[in-house]
Amino acid sequence: MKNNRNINRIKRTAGLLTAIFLLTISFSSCDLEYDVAGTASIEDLTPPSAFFAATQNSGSDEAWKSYTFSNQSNSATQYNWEFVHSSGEVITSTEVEPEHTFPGEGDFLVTLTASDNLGVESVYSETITVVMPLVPTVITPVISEWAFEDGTEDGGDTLGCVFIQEDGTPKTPKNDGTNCWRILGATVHNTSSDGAYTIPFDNTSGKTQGAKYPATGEGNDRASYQALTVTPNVKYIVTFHYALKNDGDKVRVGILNGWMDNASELETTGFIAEADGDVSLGKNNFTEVTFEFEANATGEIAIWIDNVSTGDTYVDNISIVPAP
Amino acid sequence: MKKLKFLTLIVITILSVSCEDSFLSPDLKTGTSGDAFYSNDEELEAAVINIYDGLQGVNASKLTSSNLNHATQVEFYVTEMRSDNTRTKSQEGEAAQFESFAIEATNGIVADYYRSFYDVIFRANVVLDNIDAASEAAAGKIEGEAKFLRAYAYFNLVRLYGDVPLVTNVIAPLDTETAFTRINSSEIYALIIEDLQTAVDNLDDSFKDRASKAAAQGLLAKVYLSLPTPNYAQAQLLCEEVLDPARGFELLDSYSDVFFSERNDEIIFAIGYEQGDNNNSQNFSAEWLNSVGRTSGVNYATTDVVTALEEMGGDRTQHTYRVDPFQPTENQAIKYLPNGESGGDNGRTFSSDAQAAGNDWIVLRFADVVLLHVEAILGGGESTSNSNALTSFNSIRNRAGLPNDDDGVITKEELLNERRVELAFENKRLFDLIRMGEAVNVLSEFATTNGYSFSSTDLLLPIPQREIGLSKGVLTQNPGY
Repeated sequence: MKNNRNINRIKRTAGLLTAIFLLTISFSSCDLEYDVAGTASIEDLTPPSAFFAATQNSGSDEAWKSYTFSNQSNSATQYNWEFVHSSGEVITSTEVEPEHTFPGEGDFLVTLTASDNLGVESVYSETITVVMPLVPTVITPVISEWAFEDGTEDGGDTLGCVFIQEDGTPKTPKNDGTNCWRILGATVHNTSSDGAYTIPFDNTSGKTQGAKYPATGEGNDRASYQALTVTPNVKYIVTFHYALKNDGDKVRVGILNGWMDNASELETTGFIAEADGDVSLGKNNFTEVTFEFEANATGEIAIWIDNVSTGDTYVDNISIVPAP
Repeated sequence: MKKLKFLTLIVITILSVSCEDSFLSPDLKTGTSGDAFYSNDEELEAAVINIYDGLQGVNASKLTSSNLNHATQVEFYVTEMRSDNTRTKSQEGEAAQFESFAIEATNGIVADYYRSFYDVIFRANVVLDNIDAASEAAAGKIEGEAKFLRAYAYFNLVRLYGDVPLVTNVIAPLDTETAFTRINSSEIYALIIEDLQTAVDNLDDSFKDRASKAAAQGLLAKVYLSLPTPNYAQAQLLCEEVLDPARGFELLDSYSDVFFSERNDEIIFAIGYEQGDNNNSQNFSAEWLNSVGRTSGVNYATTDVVTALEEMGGDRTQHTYRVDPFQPTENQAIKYLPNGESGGDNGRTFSSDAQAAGNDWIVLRFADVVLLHVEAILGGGESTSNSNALTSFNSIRNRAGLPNDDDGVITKEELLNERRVELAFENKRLFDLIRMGEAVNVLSEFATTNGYSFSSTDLLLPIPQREIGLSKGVLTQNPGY
């Protein structure tokens, strides 16, 4: 009997404990559930900051219209991008780093809204100016006095060649434009009336003026020099005309690998390419020579003309154009 | 009265004598101190060697304190393993953060590399601050060497961390502002260029494991190509100077000899290590193998690079990677096998101490400069058919047993691929991708294929959290971390 009472008491106590236990659980689980509602009750110590950088894509055809966006925001978890097209159309993206293609050239507003899980937002906007990239242009060098003429047509000194002499003073401009072809340490060519025929070269119409280089080794050696700028590493074609009086004579036209201050630097500067005219057809009978060269790293090149001969030699009509 | 005057005179005399500066801080007479040490050429020379010691880093297998600087020996983690070339063998630990572009600001290797290279800069600044003690004959060379090394350290830091503090002399411990203020990378690059120009002017080509004129020219060419607005013309001219046969550099006939015959004609600058010497050996050779080093294996070849090597490597492939003999599902980088030993049938058995390897780390070799020459001529364009570029490009292909470029037009993609297979596992790939503007494209695709999450901010490492903590709020973090 006593035992039975005890058992009942134990049962009752157990029942009560279970009830309390269950109640506690249900209360505390309610507590847990609703405690989350206290969001934003503490300050957001690491608010997001939105920032991005845009890079224009390169490659074939239309690639320039596309931009890759580098997301440089801090402390954010969600991103909303808006790309405003000129039609007023707004395209959105929630990617972290979207790629976007604009319809064409123009100014486009791009806005990035970065937010964190507490709903704090940061906004950054930038106007992207989409421009079709310029096709890099290849320089066609302007050769002053390329035809060695007197007077103003094709540039006497109208192209403004200034030659500074050894004493530091500019040489008086001459009508024949030889100032365009001078360098310290060398004597420039003579301007001769026995040049090649008119341009384009056809050998039928009347002759024009040209550059004359007399016999060498007699104290009257002559040479011509002109500095030019071309596009680095691009291939060019050089064309010139020459005439020789005597067999065994030759003229040389070369492209120097850099600019010189004095003709004495010829050897150290060196040629990128050169061509000799060595077929003697007599005075006034001009031959055309063509050769190629590839420009150096800087694009700073120069034309050099000289001769080795027993009689007069002539050069005329030099041109340099990019290879097709 | 007279006595008093006399006494005063004595007291004053005593006082003035005892007030001499050195009374409380006498000069050290029995040992060496930093203030008095650098007083002649020999001592400055020792300080220059000390810079190389910093660059070499400590062999973590031999001197095991984790606070030591490991410099070059951990460089592959922060460069090659962040590219599509390599990963850890078992994707474990903080080393695996690199391959998956999930690097934490608390990553210990990121902090190790950062403090190592500022230590190199400190050692260089010690030399430069004391340069007045050098004789006129030696000063130029000492200055050039220190500046080359300082520039090399800054070049690595600016490419890995972005804007970084600019320290150009020895600073006091409390100079928080200089030590932690991030300076715009354009100013960092300005110092790098200035320092390298001094090195070019002052040095000759007499060393391969110390700074040389060719090393400075080659590095400067790479710097010019790495600028936000590259200077292609200057880069090309510098490459052409190093390419000049009179300088004595060439591509070796045998590709494997490049890595296993030290100071050969293809090496322009390497960081020297000594086999078996605890203070001067390296352990990265061992780390790259299967549980031969302290890790189970890091810097293992990815499937991606294996495919590229098989397709485009030519004769280079067999000397670049191998199937891990112990675990045939994995592939190992083999350009730096410890002391030239293959490790036997299981790839793990060595007669020498593999954890104290003497393989020099090649920083710059001729093939790199040859391909930089092509890159300079390409000039940021999509392709080139320039004959000098083709000559350079084809010389690399021919050495690998491959025919000339098929159509005579080198595209940017072809150049990147050629650099990838020629220079695989030499810590060049990540920088190549960034320099040529293809990093985001290539690495996002690689990440997608492998289930990693990549964004453009992963191109820079985080500034080490530890440095930010020390900076009292001066040092700021990179975006995305």
